[in-house]
Amino acid sequence: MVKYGIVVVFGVIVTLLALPGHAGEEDPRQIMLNNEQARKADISEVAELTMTLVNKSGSERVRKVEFVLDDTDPRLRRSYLRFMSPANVRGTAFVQLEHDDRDNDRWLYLPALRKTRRISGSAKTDSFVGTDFSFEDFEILDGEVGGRNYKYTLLGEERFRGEKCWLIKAVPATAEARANTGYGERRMWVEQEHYHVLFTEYYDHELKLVKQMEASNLSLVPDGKGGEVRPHKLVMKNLLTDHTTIIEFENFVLNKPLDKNMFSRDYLSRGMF
Amino acid sequence: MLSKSGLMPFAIFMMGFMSTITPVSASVEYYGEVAVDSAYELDAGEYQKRRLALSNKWYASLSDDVNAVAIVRASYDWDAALLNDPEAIATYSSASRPYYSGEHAAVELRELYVDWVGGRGGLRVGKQQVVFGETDGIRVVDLLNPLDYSEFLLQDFEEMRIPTWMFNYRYRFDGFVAQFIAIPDVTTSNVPDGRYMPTSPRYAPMIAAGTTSIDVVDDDGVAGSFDNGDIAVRLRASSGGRDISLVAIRQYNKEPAWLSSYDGSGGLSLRPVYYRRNVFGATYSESFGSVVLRAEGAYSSRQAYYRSDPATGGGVSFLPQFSYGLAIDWYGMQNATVTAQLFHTVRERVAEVLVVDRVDSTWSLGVNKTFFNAIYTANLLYFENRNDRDSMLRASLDWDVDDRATISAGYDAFSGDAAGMFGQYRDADRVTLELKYSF
Repeated sequence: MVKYGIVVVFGVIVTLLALPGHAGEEDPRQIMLNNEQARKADISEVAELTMTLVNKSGSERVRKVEFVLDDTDPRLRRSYLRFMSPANVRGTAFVQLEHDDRDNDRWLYLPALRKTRRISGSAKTDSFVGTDFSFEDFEILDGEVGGRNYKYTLLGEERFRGEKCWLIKAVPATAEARANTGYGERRMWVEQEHYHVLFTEYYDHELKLVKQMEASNLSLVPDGKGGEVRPHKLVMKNLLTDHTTIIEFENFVLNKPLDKNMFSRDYLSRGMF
Repeated sequence: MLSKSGLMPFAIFMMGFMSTITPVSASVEYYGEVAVDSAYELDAGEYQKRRLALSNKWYASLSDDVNAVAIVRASYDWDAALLNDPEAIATYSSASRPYYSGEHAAVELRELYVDWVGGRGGLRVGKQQVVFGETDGIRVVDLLNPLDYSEFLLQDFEEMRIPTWMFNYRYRFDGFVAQFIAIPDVTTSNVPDGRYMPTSPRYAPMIAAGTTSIDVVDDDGVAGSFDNGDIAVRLRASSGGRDISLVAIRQYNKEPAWLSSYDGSGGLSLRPVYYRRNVFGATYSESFGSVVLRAEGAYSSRQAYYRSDPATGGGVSFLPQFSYGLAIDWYGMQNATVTAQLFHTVRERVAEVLVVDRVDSTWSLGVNKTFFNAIYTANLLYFENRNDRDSMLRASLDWDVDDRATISAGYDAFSGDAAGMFGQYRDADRVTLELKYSF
């Protein structure tokens, strides 16, 4: 009888450990690694972005962008963006290749110059093409590679928009990371069902709250690993300037085969409109 | 006309190529832009230009692998001070020439090309711009397209470059890309006789004392024939955070050298000469943290230089030269780029005295900064030639009013010795205002 009881208890424990879910996931670093997996596809992510820039008086500027990510390397991403509109930025294109042993490669094609130019791979705090997102905001900060630069602390659990979330604080863990990042601290509300970050608070190095980002419209994306969801809307608000950038994802498709040559300086230099 | 310009092979190729395309369902997008562009000279107290331009751009997707682009621009300049008698300009090939109506109006087919991409290869055929080089402002390797100097260097380079008819083929090998360009179009640069006509002895021949009459032979450019076309090859690779390219060009020089011929009784005849040259060059760029290094260098087998004594050797020496440019971009300021450039040209040491020094040095400093989510962009650019101690300063502020409209205000100033590249325009300081509307 006792032996039977021990077997039952042992079986329950093993079962609990095997269940997908939260066993062992109060480790904030593991939560962020799961978040990285949730944000990546096996092969690629392709979408058309509508970026709406709204100033404090409500005036809007809208950019349409072709957006392609190569996820075949699970740790390091390759990204391609090309502006489709408005006419004064159409044809501007950007490629970034992430590296873990050196600065990222970044090239920018400017139609007015008819040239592709290498730009700084370490300038992270600059605004990305006039939006409230910086280059840093577009990088994979919290995965296996980027996560080495951050120390994560689980502050607790809260609800955001009715969703149960972990509240995680990220601070730069090294002097180099502190020097390169524009943020002294980030606080992220990570929802517990799909591990997506629903809300982020960005603090500067004086720990003043400077930006907030909300992710919403989580929905299934075609050709994912069955049941893969992604946020289809991101809203970044700059609290210092009262300026907002809204990014909406359309025609979002995962794992579409890609022309690998797209992530190269030569591809940009073709100067496609 | 096509055979005279050497473009018959191009036309035959295009007809054959187009016949192989099976259009799926061609889609065509149109973009237009209206620009009102003015420049007011401060010393003269008069307008240099007040121009209305309409640019039309069509982008057509002909099939999965084939696209086409056409850009046509029409303009009207009320002041017509930049070009005198544009209808007389003969340096364009017949297939590249803008259509001028009097001195004020022009219609130009800027670009027209078909793009095919298949596997590792890609072919662009038609009237186009091809840009080599890493630095900006002074041409070292960026030599394929002739330039329109009607506003000196004050136009955007996209506007300055004269698109020409080319076959432009690239093939991607493992690790590098090879590009081959054939340019049967013999269009040469437009060196104006308007407001920015060059007077510096760097660009205009010296006149001997005692000259009583000058006969200037018309500049008809390079004779149009396929044999007189240019060719270029570029090999390019990016690896380990570095971009490298090697370039070889065989071309006619795009700006004429004016040979002097004196008749012994004070009469001078000036005849324009174009000459073949071989150019071998390389470019390099690499990022180091918040700094990007860009560099290019080129050896040219022949370059024309005016002599201080115009009565000997036609007043021109043809010498090999080596030139290079180095640029440092610093991204250490938020939403700003600071760029410093240095250019050197080194000529062969010769017995005759030239109007330029054996080593020529020019440097530049530029700042570009955006404000308020890139609604405003401020640009400051300063060029100085160390030999002639002359300089050019350009400042501008762009305002993106909304997604369609942009307003730009600027100031261009020149200073220094009138014999210098910049100082020759020291009386042409101007303020500019441009309004653009896209639709």
